[in-house]
Order: sequence, then structure tokens, then C-alpha cells
Amino acid sequence: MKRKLSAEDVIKDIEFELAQGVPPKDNLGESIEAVRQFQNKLRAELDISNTGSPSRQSIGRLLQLNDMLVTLLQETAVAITQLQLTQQLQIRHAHASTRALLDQIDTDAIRISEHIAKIDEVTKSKSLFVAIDPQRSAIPIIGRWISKLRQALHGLPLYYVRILASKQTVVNQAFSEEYGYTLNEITELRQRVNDLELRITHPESTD
Amino acid sequence: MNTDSPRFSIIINTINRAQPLQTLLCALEKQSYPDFEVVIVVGPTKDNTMELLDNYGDRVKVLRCPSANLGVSRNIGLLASSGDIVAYIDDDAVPSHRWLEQLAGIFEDPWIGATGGIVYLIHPNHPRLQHSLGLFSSLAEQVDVRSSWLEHLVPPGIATQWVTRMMGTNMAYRRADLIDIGGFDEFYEWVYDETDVAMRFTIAGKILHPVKQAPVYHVPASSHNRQVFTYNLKWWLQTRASVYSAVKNGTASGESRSTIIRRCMNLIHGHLLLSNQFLHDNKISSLQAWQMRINEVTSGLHGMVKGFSFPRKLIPQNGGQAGDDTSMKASFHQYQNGYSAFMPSVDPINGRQANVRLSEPPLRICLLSRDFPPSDKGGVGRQTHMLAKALFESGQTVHVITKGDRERLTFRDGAYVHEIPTRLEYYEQYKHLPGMYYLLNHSHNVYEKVKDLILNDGIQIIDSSNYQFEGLVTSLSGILPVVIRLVTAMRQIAPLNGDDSDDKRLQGEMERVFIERANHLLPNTHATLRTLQGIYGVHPREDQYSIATYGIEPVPDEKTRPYDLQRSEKNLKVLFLGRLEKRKGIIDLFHAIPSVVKHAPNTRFVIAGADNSHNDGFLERTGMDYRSYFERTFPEYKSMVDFVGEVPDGEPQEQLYQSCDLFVAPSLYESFGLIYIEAMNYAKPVIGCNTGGVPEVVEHGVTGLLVDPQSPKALAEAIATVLCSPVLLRDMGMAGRQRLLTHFTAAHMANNFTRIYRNIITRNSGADHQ
Repeated sequence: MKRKLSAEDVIKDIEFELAQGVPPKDNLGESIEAVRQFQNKLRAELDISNTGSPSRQSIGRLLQLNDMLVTLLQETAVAITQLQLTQQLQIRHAHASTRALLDQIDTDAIRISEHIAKIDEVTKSKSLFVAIDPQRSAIPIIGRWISKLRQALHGLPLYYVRILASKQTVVNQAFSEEYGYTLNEITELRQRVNDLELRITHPESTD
Repeated sequence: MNTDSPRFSIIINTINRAQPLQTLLCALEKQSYPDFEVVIVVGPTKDNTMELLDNYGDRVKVLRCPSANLGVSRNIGLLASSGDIVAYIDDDAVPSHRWLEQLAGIFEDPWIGATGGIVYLIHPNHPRLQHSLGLFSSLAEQVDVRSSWLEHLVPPGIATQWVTRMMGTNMAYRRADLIDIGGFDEFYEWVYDETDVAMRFTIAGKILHPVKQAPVYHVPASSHNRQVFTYNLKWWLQTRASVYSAVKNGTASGESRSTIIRRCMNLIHGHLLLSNQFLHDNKISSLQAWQMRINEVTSGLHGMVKGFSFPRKLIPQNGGQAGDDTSMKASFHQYQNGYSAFMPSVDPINGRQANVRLSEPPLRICLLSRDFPPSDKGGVGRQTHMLAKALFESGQTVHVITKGDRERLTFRDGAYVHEIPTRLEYYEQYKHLPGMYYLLNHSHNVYEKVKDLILNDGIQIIDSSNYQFEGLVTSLSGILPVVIRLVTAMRQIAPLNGDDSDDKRLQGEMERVFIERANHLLPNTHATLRTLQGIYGVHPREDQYSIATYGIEPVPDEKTRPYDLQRSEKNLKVLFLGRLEKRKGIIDLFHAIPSVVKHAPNTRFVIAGADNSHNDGFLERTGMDYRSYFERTFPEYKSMVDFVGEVPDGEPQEQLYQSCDLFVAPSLYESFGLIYIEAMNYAKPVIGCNTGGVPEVVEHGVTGLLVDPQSPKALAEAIATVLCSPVLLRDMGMAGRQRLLTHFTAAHMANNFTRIYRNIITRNSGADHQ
């Protein structure tokens, strides 16, 4: 016969739910500022107000991509800030169950990986590729020369786009390095929080 | 850069809003973070704002702004401030208790230059989460973000640059950084000033980092620019500001001129369409529509010309001369003084404070009640409502967490009422027990809210009834002390309602666990404690419980209606007020009526209350509701009984009490018996049953008579005895009123609960209740 559920079963389930909070971490301010400053410097250096240029669309998208990346970093920072606030509380309420306090972190906001994949997809998409596709001239005899001239003229903006692309690579590398660094920091802080929790809840085991 | 305990300057810009400003100043007395000054910039005001501020002497810095221009006013405040951080809040808002403490925590990160929190609109008629997070584009596009910026990782607008933004009523900047970018652009006389700053702050490479904590509670007031909660506002000022913003920030972000102009045209066109829509929906008059259209076009063009052809009007980076009062800047006057901590809590809607002098700082208490008036009128909800009201009147700050269809916050009857929807996200394994599944999830949702309230409002203690174990998850978490007001146990009610399901059994078990693990028990009578000991086998030590009786606000003497021995009217009226269900003894009363009428033929009965026959199993068993049952069983007495249905609180109930001669409530069990006190309030004698906590409320033979439960004969005799004696009708009524005034007033209740809460807080976390 199936055993009836008891209050102790329910308490175990509640305690399991209370233990689900996962703390992430730390200070992203410096990296965000670095990326933003580089981004703004780039905006100032490159003339993107010329709407007729085939490179403008590409530049605009690249800058937008950077904004997205910075937003992503900032989203992580929100979760981290909440952690910092929680930690302060944790210390103030050291007598209480610290594990429960850690739940303050909005874990939904840290589903980073799927968004990284999204950014990856945008980065790799063909939307950033600008093809040279000048309109062919239909004029007899000299049309071939006109087409070649058009091709040469379209090659000029491509030259600048390549320069931009190389600078963008630097941005992407910086982002990726900073992000990797951040993830490491998160792991370290998580460990520190766990240690802290252990010290508060079982002081005798750490003495 | 000073990152250790930064000093704040709270800047308030105000015009013609003396009353809300006073409310805000009262609320600031209660901030948990003391290192702040208050800078108030007063525009061309016509009310008594200056007289009000005179009362504060040099506790606040007061400056004048010659024009009704928010940008200018904000800059004047900025230049006169001397804190490391400037925090802006509107004059019609109040901050959460730990607002500055939370912001200071964020500024501990030296790279963060600005932050801000969320904003709740708490007006009782218009409650909503006004602002959580936000995105703003260089072309003046705005996106509200409810939970995460990742919701709009690719913002839906046409601009290439997007930044995060805060709302003007809850934003804080490092003073040096804000001055570094030139402060606020003084072109913005209203709206878009804060978003423009956010854009320039970000473009300058500084970090602006809003959070979903540190709330400000907003109670929008009318101004020279808008009539609040109507469509009567100067929309064209928004058009002008948004067009100007698109031009200035679009240009700075490298948008092409044609894109900017197209966007400006869209903004003007959009507002023109808005005027048509308002007119069509009869929200504005035809005259207002034409005024709006003309102003939209001229203001839009004005914004474009100013944007394209004139430089921004910012303060110089060195701090500037105009309006820079160096003597003020040099001095920092901490706002709070020795009395601040002892100020009673303030009603953020109307600024009222309890008329009491406190010898200790007020407490911050959180009451849990899934049911709460006005949407629910169950016993626990009503008790919680009364308690909240009484605690506010004794100076305490009260938060109530209750259920709602969506998340919102209002301030009602002395309490911040946090409505939370029950999200069924946990405990899937209990889906086969729907009651348990729902109650466990609700309890977990409550716990989530409690954590927010600890962080933002510094609540110190949780008070929950045992009914439906709302505070169970919070109690198990150990996050705060949880006290339990003991009311009728689920295990008592379930058999009375004929429910012996596994679901109810487990709910009863959880109630037992909840009671066992509480920090302290608050039975309302000795009988309640004895009953729970019998039912659950819980035997608390003397220091683990305190008897905490309820109380109500006594009506003025002129509203009481003691029986008049000289009256000529011979007809007598007996009142029953309560849910029509078995537990309330309604069947016993029905069976007593014939006998009463035999002794006192000129008696009429008034039965008031909602029929609960569909919930207590009566309908299922008999196929009838209670009224039908009475009318079929006792057809000859039908004309002597009035079934008036559910009667709203307030005046309608008051009239019922005043018009009756005797109050009867033959409940089979009452843990306390609030209904008797309510009748005693109007000097009415009462008849009840000798059960539960009733004998501790009704003094047998003095304020009324008590009979054994489920004894219609004895009940009839008791009713007839009192009805047939005018002296008893008068004397018992008067004695009841006196007993109420001596033992059961709201003030008695509040003082008793506050004393108990304070002891528990001290015992559990001595140093933590400041």
C-alpha cells in the first residue's frame, strides 16, 4: 500500500526549494566602462552619418551588436549587485539561515548562456557581410568600362569596412576576455559565499 | 573618490505641493541611512511651501528657482549640494525605509557612476508598478523593461544606440560625475530630462546601473503641467522635449540627419494622432484637441530648431557660477536629528501620522493574510485589517502581504498592502492535492516577497495566523522571527464541514508543524491555546506564548444605542450577523425561533450574512440553502424573520447594530468572538455559546448570557429571558460597552501586540532593529 504523505515529507521538499538559490558574482564596472569607451571612441572616429555609403549599414549593425554585448554584461551586473546586497544582509542576519537569503538572486536573470548563443548567431550571420554588387551598365561598347569603374568605386568603401572589421575584432576579443574573466570571478565568489555560509552556520567546523 | 559610507544629498524640486512635500520630509526622518542632507529647490510657488520649510530651519537647504523649469531646478540643487552622491526624488513620492542604504550599497562599486531603483504607484485607485528598468535610445525611443534587460536585447526601435535609464523620481548620481557631464540640460522644463542625462552619462563612458530594488513609492499629484489621472496635461511639452532629445542625442550618436528628421516628424505626427484618439474617446474636449494639435506642431518645430541650431544649456564643468551657492555647497547639514527615530510612521497618501508620542523607535511589522479587505471579508482578513490599522495608529510601520491577481502595492488604512499573485512554480509533486499545492506555493511566494521587504523596507518581524500556514516557508527559512496568531484550527473546521480528505489531513499536519516551529505563539484567548493543545498536542512553555486579545475602535458615545426603558416601541429586534453556516450555529437559531416567539410574540429576527451552504456541505446534504431550509421547516414563522443577505461593512452594518435590541451568535466554536465585541460597541446585550474563547469575551450574566452549543432549547430560553426584561436589555448592553472600553479597544490591542513584538525582536536579533 502506498504510504501517505506526512508533514516531514513536505518540510523536506520546502527545505529543498529553499536550498535552490545559486549566487553568481562580481564587479563588472571596469570592463563595462572599457567596452563603452572603446565603442564611443569608435563612433567618433568613424563617419557613419553618410547614409549612401554601403558600409554604414554594416557599421551601424556592428555598433548595435556591441551595445547588445554591453547590455548583456550589465544584466549580469544587476544580478551581482543583488548578490552584494544579499551578502550585506547575510552578515547582518548571521543567526538566521544563510542559505535562504541567497535566494535573493534573481536566477532567471542569469540565464546567460542562451543569450550568448543568440549573440554568437548574430555575430556570425551574413548580415554583417557587405558584398560588392555594382549595377551592370547596359550601354553598348563603353558599358563594360563603366561597370569596371563602378566596381572600383565600390571597392573603396570596402577598404574602410575591412579596417572597421579589424577594429571590431579587437572589441570582440576584449569582450570575450572580459567575459571569461567575469565568469571566473563568479565561480570564485560563489566559492567564497559558500565558505562564508559554512562559517556562519557551522562556526565550530572552521575554528 | 569616497566609497566608504558616502554622504548623500537628497534633491527635491517642488512647486505648489506643500502637503506632499511635508509627507516626504516626514518619511525621510525614517531613512535607515543617516548620512544625508536635504536640498529643496522651490519654483515659483503660490502655496504655503515656504512657510512649511521655515519650520525646518537649517535642517534643510532651501533654494529658489525663478522659473518652472525642472532642468534648471535640478541643476540649482546639484550645485548647492555637498554630498558625494546626489539622489533625486519627486516631491510627491516617499522612499522605502532602506532606500539610501540600498543605493549606498550599489555605490560601493567605485566604477558605478549612477543608479536608481524601481517605482511603485501606490494610489489606492491606481496601483501599479510604474517603473522597473528602462531602455532609452538616441532617437528618444523608450522601452519599459519589467524583469530583465535581456527581454529587449535587440531593442525594437530604429536607433543604433540604446542606454539604460532611471525614472526621475528615483535616481542617484555621483555628484562629480554629474557635474562632469554638465548636469541637466536646461532646455527640458518637464520630462525627458532624466533620459537625456542617462544618454549623455553613458556616451561619456560612465556607468549607469539601475537595479530592481530600492523602491520609491509614488503618489502622483497634480501640477501646473498636468491634472493627475486625467488626460488634461501639456502633451506638447513632451513633444518638444522628445524632438529635442532625438536631435541632440541622435546627432551625438552618429545618426544621419535624415533619420533624425524622419523620427522628429514621426513624434509630432504620433502626438497629433493621439489628440484625434483622445477626442474620439471623449477624453478631451474639441477645444482642447485643437489647442493640443496647434501646440504639438509649434512645440515640435521649436524642439527641432533648438536642437539643430543652438548649443545645449549645461552647467560648466568646473561647477559654474550662476546659481552655484558656494556657502551652501561647503556646508553639510545632516537632516535627521535625535527625534527622527521616534517619529510615528507616516501615511504616504495624505501625510497623516498617528497622534502619539513614542518612547521607542516604531517597529516595522509585516502581517500575512491571504484574505484582506476590501476584496475579502473572512475572519482572519478582518482581524489582520483591524490589527494593521491599530498598529499604524500606535505609530508603527505596517506591511501586509496578501493575494492579488497581479503584483501591486497600495497604502490603505495604515498599511502598505502588497498584493502578490500565487504563481504555481514550486511543489509540482503535490499537484494531486490541489489545496496543499496551492497553499504551499502561496507560502513560498510570500517568502519571496518577505525577502524583498527585508531588503527594501527593513521589516523586523512576521505575524501570520495559523490558518492556511501562510508563513510556513518563511518560518522554515529562519530569515526573520515569525509569530503566529492562533485562530480556529483547520482540523476543527474540516470535520464541521464534513471534509476528511487526504488533502485536508495534510493541511492540518502542516498547520501543526507551522505552530510547532513558530518563534512565538499569540493565542487570542486561553481557550484557543487549550484547544490547540488538545488538537495538535502542542504545549508551549510560558515564555513561548502570550495572550493577545483583539480590539476594535470604539464608536463615539453618541453612536451607541443602549435600550431605552422609556421607549414606547414594544416590538423587539434580534440580530444575527455572520456567515450562514453550520459552524456559526444558524440551524440552532432557526430551531430556537418558535420557542422565543412563544414567549415574546412581538419579536422580529434579522439574519444578515452570506449563505455558505455550498461550502459547508449543507446544500449537498439537503439540496437547500439555509433560507429555504428555514422557510420550509418553519413556514408559519417566515414573516417574522428577515433574511437581508450580506451587509457591507461600515454604515450599513452600523445601522443593523444600532437598530437591534439583542445580538445572537450561537457559534459552535469561536476562538475569540469578535462579533460579540462589535455588538457590545453599540451597547447591545449578547447571547452566545459557552465554547472556545467566548466566555473570556462575554461575561455570563453581566454583558449577556452563554448557553451550551447545539442546544436550541437553552438558546431560546436565554434569548427570551433577556428580551422579556427591559432592565437586562439595558444593563447588559451598558456593561458590554464598558467591558469593551476597558479591555477590547484597538489601542489596547496595538499596545499589547507592539510590546510582544518588541520583546521577540529583541530576543531574536537584539542589535538588528534599528
